[in-house]
Amino acid sequence: MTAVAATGAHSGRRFFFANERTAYWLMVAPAAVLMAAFYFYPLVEVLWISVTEPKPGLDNYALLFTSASIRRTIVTTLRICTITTAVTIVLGYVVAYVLVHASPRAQRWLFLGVLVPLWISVLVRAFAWVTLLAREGLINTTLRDAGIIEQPLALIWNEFGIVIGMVHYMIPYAVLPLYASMRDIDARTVSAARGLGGSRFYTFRRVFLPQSLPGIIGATVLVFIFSLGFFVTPAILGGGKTLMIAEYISLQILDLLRWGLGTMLASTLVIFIFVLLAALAKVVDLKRLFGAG
Amino acid sequence: MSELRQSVVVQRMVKRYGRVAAVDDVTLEIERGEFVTLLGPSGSGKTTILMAIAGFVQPTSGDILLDGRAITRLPPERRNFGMVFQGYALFPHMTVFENVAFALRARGRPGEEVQRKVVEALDLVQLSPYAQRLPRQLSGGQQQRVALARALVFTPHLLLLDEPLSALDKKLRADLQLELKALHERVGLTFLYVTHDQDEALSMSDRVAILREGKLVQFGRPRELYERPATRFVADFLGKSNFIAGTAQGGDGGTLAYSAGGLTLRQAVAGAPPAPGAPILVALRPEKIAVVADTPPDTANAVAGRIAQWSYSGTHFQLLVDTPAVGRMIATVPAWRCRIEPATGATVHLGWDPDATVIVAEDASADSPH
Amino acid sequence: MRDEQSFAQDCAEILREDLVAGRIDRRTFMKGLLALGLLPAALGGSGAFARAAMAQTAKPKEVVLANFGGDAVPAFTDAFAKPFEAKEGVKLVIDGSGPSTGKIKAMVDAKKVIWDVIDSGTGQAHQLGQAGYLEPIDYTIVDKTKLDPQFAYKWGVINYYFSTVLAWDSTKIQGTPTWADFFDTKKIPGKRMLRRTGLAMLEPALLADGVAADKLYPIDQKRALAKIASIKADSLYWNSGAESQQLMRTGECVMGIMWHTRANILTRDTDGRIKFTFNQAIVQPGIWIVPKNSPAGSTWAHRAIRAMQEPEGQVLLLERMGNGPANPAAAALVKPQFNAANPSAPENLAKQVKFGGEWWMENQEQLTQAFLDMISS
Repeated sequence: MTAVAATGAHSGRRFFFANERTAYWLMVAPAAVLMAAFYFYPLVEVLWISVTEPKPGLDNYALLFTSASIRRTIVTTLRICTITTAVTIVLGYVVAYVLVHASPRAQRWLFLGVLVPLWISVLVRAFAWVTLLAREGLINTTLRDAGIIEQPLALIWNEFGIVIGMVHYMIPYAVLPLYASMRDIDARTVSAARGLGGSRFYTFRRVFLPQSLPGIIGATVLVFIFSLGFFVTPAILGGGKTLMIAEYISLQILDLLRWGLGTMLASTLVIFIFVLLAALAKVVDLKRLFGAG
Repeated sequence: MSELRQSVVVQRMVKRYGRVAAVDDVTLEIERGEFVTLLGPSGSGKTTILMAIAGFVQPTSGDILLDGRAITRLPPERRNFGMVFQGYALFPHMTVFENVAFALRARGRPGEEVQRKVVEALDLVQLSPYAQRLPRQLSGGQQQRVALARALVFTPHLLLLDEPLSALDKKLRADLQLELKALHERVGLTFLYVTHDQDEALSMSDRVAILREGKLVQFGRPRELYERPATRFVADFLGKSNFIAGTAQGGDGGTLAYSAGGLTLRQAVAGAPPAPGAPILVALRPEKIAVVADTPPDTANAVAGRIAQWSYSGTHFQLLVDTPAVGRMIATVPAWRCRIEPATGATVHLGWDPDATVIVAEDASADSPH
Repeated sequence: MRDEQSFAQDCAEILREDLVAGRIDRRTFMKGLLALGLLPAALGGSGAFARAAMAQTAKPKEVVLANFGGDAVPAFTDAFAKPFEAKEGVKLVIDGSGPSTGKIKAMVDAKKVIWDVIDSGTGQAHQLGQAGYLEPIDYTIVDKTKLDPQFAYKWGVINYYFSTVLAWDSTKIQGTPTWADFFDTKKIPGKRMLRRTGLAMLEPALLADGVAADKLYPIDQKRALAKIASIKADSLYWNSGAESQQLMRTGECVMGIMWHTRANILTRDTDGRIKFTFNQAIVQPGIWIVPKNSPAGSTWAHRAIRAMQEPEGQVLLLERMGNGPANPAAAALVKPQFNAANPSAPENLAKQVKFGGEWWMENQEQLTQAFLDMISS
């Protein structure tokens, strides 16, 4: 690297920034220190506890394979997250598709509709769903008054209710990367395909959908990763019967004092997510996906 | 009837966006196998007409007929027209082969037919070695040829091209113009071409339709349009033109005398000449002017003036001459064995024959064509 | 976030609701906010060492009592802090920041303990005690004659009573149902609700299954879990007092097992539509515990506990929050209108089953996990 004096560094003000690189690292330093102290250090400590309590070794990690309770929690979590992700991607795709083809004025309103829920607390949203889905809630009473059903539907206090609540929360996180990816698709390729004889559906399947694939992949991984850590929504909408991993960890740490177990599960979750992100980075430009590029 | 020979007819098409008419009552008849160009400045409606023929734009009123049958309401995928877009719009996620095969696969053609026809089409545009490449690995010219192959592989009724060469540099453009023309002769399909570049239009087309602000101004063979422009706009849009405004005096036996700038000038006319006293506008091409230095030329028309500016382009000298009688004139003379020595301020005499000029009409709108 | 809520935490919440409903004035609430706030806890960090150094015999600056905040702070202040300061000349400060098990452990591990006395439960007491985080209760200071000795444990001692009762929707169910009815979804269809961690849920199950009240302990865990699992399809599980209240009020559940304080509020709010009974209810103790290396020292912590055994303070707490007085002498001082909902009123105590603290101390941790596994499988 060449040592380039900062602009304006004449004989008067001698090289405080000896070269650009030093300047760069000095500016980044405060943020880096903050991250190291409040982010990396606690993470490392969690990892440390997972291999030292109650006694040093990998016993806690062995529980991943031997404990039926943990296995069931993991399976439940993976199942709910997979279903949530699938439903969210489909619905999010539809919304993004409409957005991309809407007039600028309509787009503004649609974006508002997608983004406003993000500003509402997750607790409020979960309770709103309770009001809608409960036995004597809005949906059941409306259906009953209209004569469509006699007995109230079990829309809540089960995995169905949880998935509804989670999908509702996740849709903006799917719509935004999908929209970004769709916006890059040259609309003329679609026109060209139609002109060449492709029906609307054929054109969508062979020309539009494949070009939106990076967005789909990115959105899928994003939504899946988010939903892995979900806590509030499943706790409220599940009727207490569904235990997902985040809540499981919380119980071990706060109530049962099984810190070795809790930190092990937390570390496993973090490692799993990093692996997923690494795999994603191979397929998709991560910087663009998260808005930096 | 002539209808049997017609391929595509645009009948009294109107397209309005809000209160603005992008296309205003245009009728065009395109013969089977012709190479027709829609030429005009931006906003003239040429692309809108093309898109209406393709099926992407619905006319506000009027019809599109194919071999006499109205196809106005037919969706694009059912019209069987090939189309090449500006920027080519190749499918970036498919190989060249798959791009070209698309139309056939969309029609459900069997595999071996697809294979055969795609190979044929790639041969036609000389891209066979590139079949497995992706579009982003090709040059601009190669992408253009893929777009052509893609549009031709299913033997459409018609090939529509929307300014396909506008993104290329001059040399490549010239080369590809020749290729397109050659392709047209080889394949024998009807080509409908849209451009704003008049050189392109003149060099490639069988007939050219000149459009301006949504209206069809003139439709005819390139030579006819160049030599016999109908209006000031056409005269000025195709190549360069001088304009002389004068008053008719009287005609006899095929020649009209008119006064302009104190001079009496002569114009060849066929049929009934304009009445004496009527205003006329005459267009004069720069290359049809003879330029001499010392004595006035012995042509029917002559004006004198001084050279205000001149430039050299290898083949020609272009002279800007200020004449007291008829204002500033542009004259071009071949450089080889030129009889004058161009110099700013030098006096020259410009002369031309009565049939070198054409009477043109003023255009409908009050705007200057410049 | 939504940790399993303890009874103490829930009392705090009830009183916050009281303020919102206008049953308590703003001034009291503001005092509670201050005490709830950040200052005592933050300052505690730096002062802890100083206090520990002053240790056992010298008078400490203050004794800190931790509970779950909200209006429990002014209630405890009026009931206990004022008399303590008057008698001993040392301030009793109520810290409402919520002493979860994990927090206590972290504090003691880091040697930065900021609480002297903690409002806790039998399970938590045993968990932390066995792991070495608590001082054993010094019964030379705490007076065993002022409480039911059944609830005097090694690692903790009773502070007040609360009950786990059966509540039901009287428009859907006639008369007073029993535990057997609760577990019989054929006889009485509709959803049931239980506490999610299973604490005090096993006893109703065994009673419903025919076990005699005096033969409940040691609990046959398998049998109890099987009974509870039998109505799993119709059951919902609550994490907090507010949740248990809401599930009954909105009609989601026709019958529920919940804390008497919430059931009492429900009866009042629904004009008697939701009823509850002390018949065969499980009466449980809240527990004082003393963490190791507390700032004011073990002696003063115990002196605070001793002071809070006086009946007057306990009766005030009953009136303000519904917690039953632990001191048998308090019964005579309770005004009649507070007795119907008082778990330790003699007529109510006689109907109930006493909570088996020893069994729960040994087994709460593994039972919690087993219960959760059962309901989530």
